[in-house]
Amino acid sequence: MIFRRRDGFSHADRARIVLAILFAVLVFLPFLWALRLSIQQTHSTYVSLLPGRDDITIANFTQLLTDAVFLRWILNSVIFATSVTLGNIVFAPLAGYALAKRRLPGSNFLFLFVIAMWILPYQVTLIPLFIGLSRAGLVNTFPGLILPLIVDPLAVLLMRQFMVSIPATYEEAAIIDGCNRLQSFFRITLPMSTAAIMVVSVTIFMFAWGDLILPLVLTNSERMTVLTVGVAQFSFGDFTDWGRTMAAAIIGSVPTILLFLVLNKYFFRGIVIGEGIKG
Amino acid sequence: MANTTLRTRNTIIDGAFLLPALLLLVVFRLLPGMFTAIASFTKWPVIGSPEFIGLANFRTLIEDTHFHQALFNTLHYSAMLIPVLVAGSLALALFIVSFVRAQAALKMIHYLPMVIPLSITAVIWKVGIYSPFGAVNQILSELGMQQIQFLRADYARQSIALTMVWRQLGFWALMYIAGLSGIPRSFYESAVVDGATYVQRFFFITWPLLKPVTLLVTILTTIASFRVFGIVYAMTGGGPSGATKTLLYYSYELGWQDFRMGYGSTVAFVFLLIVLALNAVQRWLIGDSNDL
Repeated sequence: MIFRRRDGFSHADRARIVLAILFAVLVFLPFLWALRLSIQQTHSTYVSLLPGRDDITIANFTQLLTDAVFLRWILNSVIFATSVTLGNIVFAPLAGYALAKRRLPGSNFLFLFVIAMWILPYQVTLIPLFIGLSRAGLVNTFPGLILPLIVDPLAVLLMRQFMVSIPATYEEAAIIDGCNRLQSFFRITLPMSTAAIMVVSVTIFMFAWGDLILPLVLTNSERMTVLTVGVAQFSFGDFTDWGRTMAAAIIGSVPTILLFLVLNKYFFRGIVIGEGIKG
Repeated sequence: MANTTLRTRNTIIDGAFLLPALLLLVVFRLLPGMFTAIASFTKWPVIGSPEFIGLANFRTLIEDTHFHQALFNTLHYSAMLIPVLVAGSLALALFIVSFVRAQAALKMIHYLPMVIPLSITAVIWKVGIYSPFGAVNQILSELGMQQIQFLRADYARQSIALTMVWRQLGFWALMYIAGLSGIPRSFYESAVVDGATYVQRFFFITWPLLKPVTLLVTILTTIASFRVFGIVYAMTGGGPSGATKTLLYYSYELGWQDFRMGYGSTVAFVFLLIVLALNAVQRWLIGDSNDL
């Protein structure tokens, strides 16, 4: 038969599809098992592959979501991640614009400085940062947690990279029409950069929501614990309440997974813009 | 004249736009970074002020078996992760682009692990896969076979590396897919006309044209493998007996568990020098393009 039926698959196609499904199963396996563990209350070290009908319960989730300590972790993570994201949305487009225009004296040096700050791993700044913030009385406070990340050099570079690609003619046209420089930025360049701002938002939010080391070293009180630190410490010690731990892990992953499902095109576009930053 | 005032006004506006970000970067990145370099030459107990002791910390470093182990572990992570991530993500990228209708869905599926916070991924793998009640061990039990202790000293680094591969493979594959989309279709079409096989098309078109992406992925995965921290903290706490500890983790331990701020800074400083050296290699290999 020369012509395949429209929905017909060759043997090679079938093999590829089976392989694709196998890979997807490998990606999902840890989630699926986490889900399976989370819907049963911990009572033994033996776990059947599927829970018995009587064992299925959402008690782990309801207990966590009514537990004041756990809710406090969620609230802390929300405050931390959204403040860091908002800070970057305010500062990065402004700085990125100034760098893209290259009108400042020493603009090349300033650009290289931001690249250098991006290359500098922030993990090596932690000891002096901790000492400085504790002298300023900012350890265990939200300002102390948020300020070190409020301008991420990567966000500035992403904005600059995007704004360089906007032709100058748009702003020139606006100025001929009577806009001043500020208006031409706020009415033309900024609205045109919405996609890049979205890329920065999802990138920074994901990063801040998942950050562990900074909250770990800059907070040490129960009241300031964020979700990533709290959930990690859930699984410490000899006995693991696997049902509750997995329920907590699932709740902690939901915000970023939802964000990804809704805004996935900005995640992918970030890779393309990011690929240009070879630093 | 009008031109000069316009230029001045532009300078003022641009300066005002850049200044806040610049100040924050100086205060929260540059100064602490420089201070780490300085502090690495001091003895600095957490209560009290740093005392300059010259190169003593670096001499300690050379004889410190914990440092040797952390350095060895870090290099071992790199040796495991870099080849697997680079070759694996290229293979995955080629596999994904071979699908037409399912491509978007496959991209999303394989990016998904990257979306989950790292420390939570570590907990899911620790409890859900590697523990006695993890998926693998429960299946082994069902089959009447002996359980595997994934996180004991002689497997722990491999187990952590496996989780890292699971997390990152799809992300780097998307990097390759972005690179693949830049190769003109006509190259492949004329190769097919000339009778080139799939393998020939890969080695004569895809591989050479993807070389910049391969270099980029290699360097970025190298840097990522040096920065391993969160997964170690959440999964093993550096143990058992230091088997999974990295340079970064050791620096954290010195600073926040032993309160040796000076020596902790020395380890962080050495880590910084390694990352900077890797960046220099990257610039040298890829070429220092000024268009960022």
